[in-house]
Amino acid sequence: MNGLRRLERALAVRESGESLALVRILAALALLWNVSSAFVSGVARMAWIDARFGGYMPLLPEPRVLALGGARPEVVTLLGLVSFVCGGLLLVGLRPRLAALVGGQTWIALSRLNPDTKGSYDALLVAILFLLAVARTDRALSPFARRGRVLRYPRLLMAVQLAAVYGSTALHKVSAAWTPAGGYSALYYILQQPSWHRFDMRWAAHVYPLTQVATAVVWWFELSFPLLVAVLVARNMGPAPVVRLGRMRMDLRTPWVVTGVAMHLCILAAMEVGPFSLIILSLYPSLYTPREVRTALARLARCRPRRWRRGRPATANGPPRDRP
Amino acid sequence: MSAVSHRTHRPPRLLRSARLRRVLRLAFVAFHLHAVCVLALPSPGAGMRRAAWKDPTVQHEFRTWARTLSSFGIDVEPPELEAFAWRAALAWVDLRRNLTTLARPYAEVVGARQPWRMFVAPHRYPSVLHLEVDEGTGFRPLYVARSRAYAWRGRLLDHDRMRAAIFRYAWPSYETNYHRFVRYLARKAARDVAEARRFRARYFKYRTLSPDEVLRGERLRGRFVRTYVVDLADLDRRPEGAP
Repeated sequence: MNGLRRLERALAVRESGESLALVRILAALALLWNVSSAFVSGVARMAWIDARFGGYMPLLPEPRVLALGGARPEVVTLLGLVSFVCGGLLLVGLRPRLAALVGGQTWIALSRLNPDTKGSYDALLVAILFLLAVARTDRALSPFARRGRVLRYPRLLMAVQLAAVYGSTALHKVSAAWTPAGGYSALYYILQQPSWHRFDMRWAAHVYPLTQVATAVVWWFELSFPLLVAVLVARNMGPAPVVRLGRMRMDLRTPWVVTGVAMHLCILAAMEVGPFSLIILSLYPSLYTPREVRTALARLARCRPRRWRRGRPATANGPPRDRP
Repeated sequence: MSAVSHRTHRPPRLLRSARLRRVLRLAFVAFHLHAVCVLALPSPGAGMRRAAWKDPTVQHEFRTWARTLSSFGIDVEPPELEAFAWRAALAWVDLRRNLTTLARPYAEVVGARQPWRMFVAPHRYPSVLHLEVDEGTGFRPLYVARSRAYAWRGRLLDHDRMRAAIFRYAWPSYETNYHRFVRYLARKAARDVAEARRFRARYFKYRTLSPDEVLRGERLRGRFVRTYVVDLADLDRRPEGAP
């Protein structure tokens, strides 16, 4: 019973809102990218409109779309428009919970219409939007920011979501090519797949040993990521001895985050997988406390050219310290 | 006026007890974590098709794993390994379905499905889509995936969502949707190419070159598969989306 009480108390802990606000902004940019690219390229017109109304195939009976009258051009346009507006509201932090809830539901409706054109990033985006609907993300980094602190547990749920993505994708990688049995050749051959690459990648043969090292790093990075989040959550919510154990000198997050960011930037540069990299990177701020995010943003602000700066950094008299 | 607005921001009477709010929060977090964890367990998904396992890429995997197991003293032939993997996968799918019974309806509504099957295995025998049109003088290419020279409707067809669809349509199990896709594009071609009589779609399937083969300067070798020709004069007689 004591354990339950302690968990209840741990879930009621509050902190300032910079980390969640940064997740909100990045997820909003990903949603805007996702919506606009689908509509501007003509994919929405071809793939999300039912064959009866001019699309190329009969679509799945998505209940949200059926309630609006089916996958007609006007319904799909309306859903796209609503998603775009929700992305804009999330970006500026105006009514972000409602925007995340509505944006998530409209994106579920659109992206599930045609199972042949959906990507894993759609599922990740709506999972993030749901957590943004649960969290209070309008307490920082917004012209409409309200005063007050936010509950910490949605941030930890976001970190768990990130761990679930990496851990699960690592367990799905059953090919021998991801292991020494296949010579760690997976990345080299994936880069040769015409479905996803941006340009001819045969040059990778000249740096084959590097691709082997990268394959091993990627697989172990993904497989071990849940452990990092487990340490992080234990450090925040675990019993006192675990919390003390977690206070190590070395910041365990740095090697994982540096590897993850480098990996996703490489994916963005070499492969055409839509907004996947931005969507998954939008969860990274959840690994950091609001104080750490504030410090990082202040450092970024100091890097700007002098003429762009106005006044002192926002952190000069910021809210009290959060628990590390 | 201020009293009214103050009242509207208060939680419902049922939730005014701090203790109740904490218990509900704990229940939500526990259930959400359960849903995320069980749904993220690996799932073969659309890969549970016997025909898909006959693809050269999958067969290559069985050969590699059988060779690896043999090096550890476990002698097993690729067909035996495939049969064992099929039985194990069926049992796992069944167990996973039971584990996710409670979580699935929740995930459907909130959008927490956790389908993280990404780059499970490199496709050693990929396919490149070719779209061609015949104006009475034989077929000429309109679109070849990843080609700069033949990029008809490239903004649409090179979008990552269409790349996903085109990747799927190279597999036999997607034949019906592949034909629908081709007929849709045939209508567009009929509009864009005035003298077009026939429209042809086919995939060039080849084995990716190993690093050594690339360095030796070898060329890609493959064959065309899944050829589908549409007579543009017949198109108007078939309704859109018909199989």
